[in-house]
Amino acid sequence: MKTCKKCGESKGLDAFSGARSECKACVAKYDAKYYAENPEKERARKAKYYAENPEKERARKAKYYAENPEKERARKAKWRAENPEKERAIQAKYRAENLEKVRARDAKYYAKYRAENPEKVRARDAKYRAENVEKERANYAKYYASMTDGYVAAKLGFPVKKVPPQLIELKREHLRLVRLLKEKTK
Amino acid sequence: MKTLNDVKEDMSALYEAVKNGEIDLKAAGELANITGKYLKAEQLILAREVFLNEANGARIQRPLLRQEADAH
Repeated sequence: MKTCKKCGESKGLDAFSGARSECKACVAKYDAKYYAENPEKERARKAKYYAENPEKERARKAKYYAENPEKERARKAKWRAENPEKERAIQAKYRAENLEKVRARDAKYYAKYRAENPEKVRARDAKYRAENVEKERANYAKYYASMTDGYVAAKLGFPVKKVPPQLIELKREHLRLVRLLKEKTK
Repeated sequence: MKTLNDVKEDMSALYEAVKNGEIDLKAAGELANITGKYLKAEQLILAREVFLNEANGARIQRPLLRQEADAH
């Protein structure tokens, strides 16, 4: 047992930090008051400490996140809801700096979503097509003119990976000829 | 027997001939039609191969592709 010099209460040793003569509760109260009265000083002190001890700070944060995942998720969600502009800027910056990573992540996510929600995806695609007829027509015209490997393989009824390149080449030549003949006999 | 590459080269030549008006359109149409049938047959072989590969991992030989592999 030890008596706190501030509040005068007798408490167990675990209520004290090391050799301090004030109990943890009194120290916390004092700190809170000091922080409230000197916010700028505190911010500067913390910033200096973080700059000087990045590793320690990272480890401390990681430990806190691991121990309080729910709290952290809620805090982040609240911040995002309160700062939509800042959040958008952060996302855009991350996307620009990690384009390949983001694309791969999105593709994986959409493939999973498509597999799990085929009806929803079909309905959404149909709605989009109905609302963007001209755009869709232009897109198809571009696709038709491109005669990419994917287009030619689709004409054969297979995904491009399954069709031997020689067959794609032959089909492309055939399509080119058929289109020319169609044009000439118009 | 012609390989896929041979037929492709024939198609390219035919395309050029049609473009330059060196061949009768009807005859060219017939040749394009025959190639279409040839492609259909290849498509069927491919479909069978894909089906068998997916069903039990077996791989059947495609005579035309084998000839091309031998030629190279």
